[in-house]
Amino acid sequence: MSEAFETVHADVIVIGAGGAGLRSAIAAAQANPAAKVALISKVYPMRSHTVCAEGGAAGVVQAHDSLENHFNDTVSGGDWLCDQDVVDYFTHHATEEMVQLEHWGCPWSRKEDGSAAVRRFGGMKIERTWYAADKTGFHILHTLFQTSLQYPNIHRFDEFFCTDLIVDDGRCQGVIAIEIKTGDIKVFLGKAIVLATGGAGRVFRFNTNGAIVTGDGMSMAYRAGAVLRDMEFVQYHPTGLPGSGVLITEGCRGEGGILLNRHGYRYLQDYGLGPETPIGKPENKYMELGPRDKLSQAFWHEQRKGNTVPTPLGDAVMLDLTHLGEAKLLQRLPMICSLARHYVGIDPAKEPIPVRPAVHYTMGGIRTDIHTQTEIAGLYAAGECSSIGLHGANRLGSNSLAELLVFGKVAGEQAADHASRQPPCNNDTLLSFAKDKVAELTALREQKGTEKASRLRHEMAAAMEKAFGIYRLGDEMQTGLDTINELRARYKQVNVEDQSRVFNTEFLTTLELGSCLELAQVMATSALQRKESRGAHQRLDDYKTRDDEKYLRHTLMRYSPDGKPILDYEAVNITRSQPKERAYGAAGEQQNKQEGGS
Amino acid sequence: MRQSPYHRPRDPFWYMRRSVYRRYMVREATSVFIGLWMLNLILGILQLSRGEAAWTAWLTWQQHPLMLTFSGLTLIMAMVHTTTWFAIAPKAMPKFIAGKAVVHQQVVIGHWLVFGLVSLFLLVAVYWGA
Amino acid sequence: MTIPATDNTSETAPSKSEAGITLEILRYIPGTHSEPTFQRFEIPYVEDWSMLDALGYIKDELDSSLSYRWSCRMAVCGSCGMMFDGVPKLACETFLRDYYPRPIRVEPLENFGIERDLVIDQEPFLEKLESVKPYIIDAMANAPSGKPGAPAGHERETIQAGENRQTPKELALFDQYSMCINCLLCYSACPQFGLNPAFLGPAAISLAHRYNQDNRDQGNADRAPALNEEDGVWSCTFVGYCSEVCPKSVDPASAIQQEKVRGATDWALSWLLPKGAR
Repeated sequence: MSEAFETVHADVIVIGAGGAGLRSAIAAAQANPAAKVALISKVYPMRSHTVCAEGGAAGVVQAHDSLENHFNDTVSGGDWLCDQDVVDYFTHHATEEMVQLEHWGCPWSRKEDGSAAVRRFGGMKIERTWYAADKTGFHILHTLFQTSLQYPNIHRFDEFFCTDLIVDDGRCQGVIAIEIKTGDIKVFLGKAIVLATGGAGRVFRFNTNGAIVTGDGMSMAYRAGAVLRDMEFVQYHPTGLPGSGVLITEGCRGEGGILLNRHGYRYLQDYGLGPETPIGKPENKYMELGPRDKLSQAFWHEQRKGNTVPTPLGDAVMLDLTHLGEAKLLQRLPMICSLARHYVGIDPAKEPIPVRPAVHYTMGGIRTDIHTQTEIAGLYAAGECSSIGLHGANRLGSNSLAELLVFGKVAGEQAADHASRQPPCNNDTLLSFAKDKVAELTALREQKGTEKASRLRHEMAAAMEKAFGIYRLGDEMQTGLDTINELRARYKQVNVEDQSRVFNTEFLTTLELGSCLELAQVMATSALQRKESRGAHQRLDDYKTRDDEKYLRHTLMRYSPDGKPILDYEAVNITRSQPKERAYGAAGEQQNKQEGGS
Repeated sequence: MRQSPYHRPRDPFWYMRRSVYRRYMVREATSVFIGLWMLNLILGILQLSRGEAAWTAWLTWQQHPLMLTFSGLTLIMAMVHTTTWFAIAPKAMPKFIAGKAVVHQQVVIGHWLVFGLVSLFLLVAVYWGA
Repeated sequence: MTIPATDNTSETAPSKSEAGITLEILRYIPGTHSEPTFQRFEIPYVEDWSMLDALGYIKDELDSSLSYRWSCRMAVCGSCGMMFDGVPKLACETFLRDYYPRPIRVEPLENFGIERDLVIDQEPFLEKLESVKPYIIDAMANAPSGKPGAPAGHERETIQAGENRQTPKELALFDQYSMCINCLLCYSACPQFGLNPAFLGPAAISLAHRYNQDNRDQGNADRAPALNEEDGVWSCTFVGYCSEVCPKSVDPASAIQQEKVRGATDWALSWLLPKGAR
């Protein structure tokens, strides 16, 4: 029997109130002041995971830089799996979004003359990363949230947990949500829906992500018939704190921080990123300013060679910032100083910080076209939950904050436009569809099973880390996938002990686990089938190199009710940059020269 | 349906729970003494307007041991208030004045300097005036 | 309130030989409990554990019904404010080692309504935040075409004009106040808010001050009504504890005092200056 529910009507529904969701909601509210925009989030907007981004957001601003440079860095950083028309649109619109944010009050760090300052970042040829000390994501999120408060047509639904999209007649027309503080179910009906629900880093054990990063939106869209793309590409950030996985920004290296192994040796020069640059004189795309995938892979090798530093919380390498001096550290990297002090008991001005790679970002996500439109009419996606084709096989640091602004805006405008052209929803069909979903939800809540969700979660995260880490092996991946499938079967017997309604977080984490398991299966299947090494997907079996002939293609995954995802591929949109060797350090310089120094 | 959140009953002696609250209450309590002493002063002025006899009676009352104790206590309380007030004065200052960062310690020292000078001037004026 | 000796040991509970620590957590589940009571949990003592790790252990291994908010576990999302031994702190930045071997008392943030267990009602704060208009209000925005929701054309024009100039010194006038993570520890520290729930409070005033101090903003007058009414800055009696508990060194007490100075100056000027000159 299905329980009763309330219905809320809106024109545009935005799910997720992080950077992308807020930017979408503002864009939709501006595009049509008469439209009712419902902004639904499972946490208060300022708790969204955008808040954890530290280093900065990319947008070309210096005279000696160019959009072409940003394009080339992004495409080669992504190992040519980027859709180049999307990259072009992105580089052309990133800077205006930084300026827009400035007009909305974002406290960008400044140069003496009052113009915005930019810093170096990994894989970027010229400094173009706008930053607000080392709390860029925090400031972007709060600026967007506070700005959103002035739009009376944005109606916030904070702490509403979305569970299922309502799709009828090939059109997405609503979403089912649990009001967390009452446990009541609400059905939201709208003419256009934007998903901005973030990534799925919590599928892995050791990660830099907040508790909420569980891929709910990706899973919802996938179950509703949208396509998940390139899910095998999961980024390891090279510098997380051992134990907790707390992120230590790439900005540290942008400011001149160096990475040392246990012998005090700057090991990155042995991995195609050298020659060594002088301490205090970092050079773009050399050494510590190489891309994230390369740096994480170098750590893996150093660990195998026994060159890492054993700490009580696991093996680590040392991020040395001591030469920057206390004054600069406090000005440019104040949060890093505080995090190091609290979580590993170290003062970065005096001692190096132990760091190791940690899962950070899902390059893949819900497939969209360049207008953020998904397979399903009326459903748009932006930010980390989407795969618009920007990041390819490896994202460059500071491209994701820029992405959520550029494409968050597009999604909001597209959704508002789509909503204005739609007839009113057909309530009866939608509500009967909703009723079935609500019944499933109630059944899960009341089910008397045998499995404990927290146990399944730990097993899933451990299995994913073991089989789908920095380097992957065919047979290990198969074992990993088998484990995930087994866990999925056990999940059907999950038992929610807590039968109360108000703030029942056990039930919500059980639903999140369901999403994570769904995505783990997609990631595992995609990875197993990609028989090459590219960007963040590196294999150590027979497929150690990139294979453009067979795999210069996006992996597509479709949901099937039998529980086995349907695999497909599609071409990458290559407009002008043909795949070549990815080269950094001196080799990159050499490559540049041969091409006439573009 | 939403049940309204649970509000715990407030502890009537909340101010005893933390040292920072106790210090705060002492600071606020000093004003009671200063207030009473001001009432006394106003009474004095009133007596002055009523003629010499009333004024002299008021003056004599001031020398009563009870009144002396009260005045002494008020002086101590006023000093406590001054100290605590000066200590938090920097918080009410802007972060920069004329482009220069305001140093909290200097603000406190400045307050004490002004306080000292004004007190000295008054003492001298009263002494010379008498 | 009583402390029931609950036996929560499961098969994963630590053996007797391991070091342990006790947490006394205030539990309240509406519909199940008529009023909050303390529940005692014995957990293993791990030196590196933050309170959040300890709560996670309880939720995963001992009692899955324990509810609390958390996310980033790096002191920036502002979700996990709680009282530890009567002091408001972030659970992710508070460590077992600072209390061991004494038992630790864990309660929801003081001065707020309790939704459940350690979860408090934040809705009133959101309303207060909104009332101080925490966004850039600029002279351009008052032009007819520049109102929020105005056609994109106007926005495009101003965007093409590029970013505003703001020197590091101008930024330093407000950056400290922009660091507020809305964790609400300051509201728990404030006895005036405890006595008068209508008080605008430290965080909302700090954010109003942040925009008032921003050289790009022209909105002082728009924020003045909310700040200067009785439940605004004038409800503050300068206890100063808000600044002590702030995990981000925002110093809300200073923001409030400076807004009092601004309010008083504006009021004095309104009497001294002829109407047109104000």
